[in-house]
Amino acid sequence: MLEAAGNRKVSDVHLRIGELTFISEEQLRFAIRLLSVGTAAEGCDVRIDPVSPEFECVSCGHISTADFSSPAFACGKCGADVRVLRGKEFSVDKVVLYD
Amino acid sequence: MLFHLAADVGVDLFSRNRELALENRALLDAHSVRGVEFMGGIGSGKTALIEALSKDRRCAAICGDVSGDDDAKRLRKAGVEAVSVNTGKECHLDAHLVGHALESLDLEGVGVLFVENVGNLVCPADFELGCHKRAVVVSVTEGDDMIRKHPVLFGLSDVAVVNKVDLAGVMGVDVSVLEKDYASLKSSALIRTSARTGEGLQALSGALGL
Ligand SMILES: Nc1nc2c(ncn2[C@@H]2O[C@H](COP(=O)(O)OP(=O)(O)O)[C@@H](O)[C@H]2O)c(=O)[nH]1
Ligand SMILES: [Mg+2]
Ligand SMILES: [Zn+2]
Ligand SMILES: [Zn+2]
Repeated sequence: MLEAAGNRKVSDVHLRIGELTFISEEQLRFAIRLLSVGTAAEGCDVRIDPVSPEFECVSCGHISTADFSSPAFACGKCGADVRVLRGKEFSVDKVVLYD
Repeated sequence: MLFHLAADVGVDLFSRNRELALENRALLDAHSVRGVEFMGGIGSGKTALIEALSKDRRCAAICGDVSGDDDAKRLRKAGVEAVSVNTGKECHLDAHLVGHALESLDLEGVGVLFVENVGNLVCPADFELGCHKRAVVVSVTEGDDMIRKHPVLFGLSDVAVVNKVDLAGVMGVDVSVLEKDYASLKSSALIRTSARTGEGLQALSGALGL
């Protein structure tokens, strides 16, 4: 990715992180700051889009949400098990370079 | 300052692990092997439960530990074809490590493959390994607040176990507190086991589809 950028510097990086992952935003920012020293990404702005969890009931199909601090992994309507639709993402969505 | 949009890259950083997990699953399915992963606290009894569940059936096991091969040795003694995976500095197994471990196992005639993850109630949840069921084990010796403290790992697991119930009295732990916390998360019941006395092993076996 950085090779394709030639010798232009990275202005910002957009990440998407699901709230059901165990990736700590604070620690990730710290790691990027340390690892990017001396690279095209040094000093870049790291934008993080958190993705809140969304579940689908395996029995009745009801879609529900929950937050990380008080998650419920059962269907709010019928009580059956759910499968995770959103909340486990960890992706680099966009890299913006200086012209 | 002018900006130039480089790319909508959309690189999913977990996707490679997920692909490898699917490959592991396909390999298990091709050999009609049921894959069961045990996550859980250090010393909660993951290895002891695998030992107990592997009686009366032909089993293989992959034991993830930071170092050493104590668990694999114990399981071999119990008649299980076991290999160790030392994660060294990592606190969890991933699908890549499990894929390599599978290369060194002969799955012909094996009914169940157990994968024991590194003792850890946090990051193993991020890395699917390709097993059919994921179970998480805590035991009464860790107190009664383990489920409350780790809701996401319990939420994302298919089966949850509280082990060493034979010690609940000595530890002064009321197992119903753990059950109540689990009931607020999931629809299934928390399974009480004792690898020592054999209590609950049949229920666990059923929940894992063995
Ligand atoms: N009393 C009792 N001890 C147990 C039980 N399960 C495991 N243990 C003991 O607890 C210790 C840790 O068990 P082990 O299987 O190595 O835990 P692991 O680290 O989760 O694999 C060992 O000394 C086991 O014999 C149980 O149900 N009851
Ligand atoms: Mg063990
Ligand atoms: Zn439902
Ligand atoms: Zn970790």
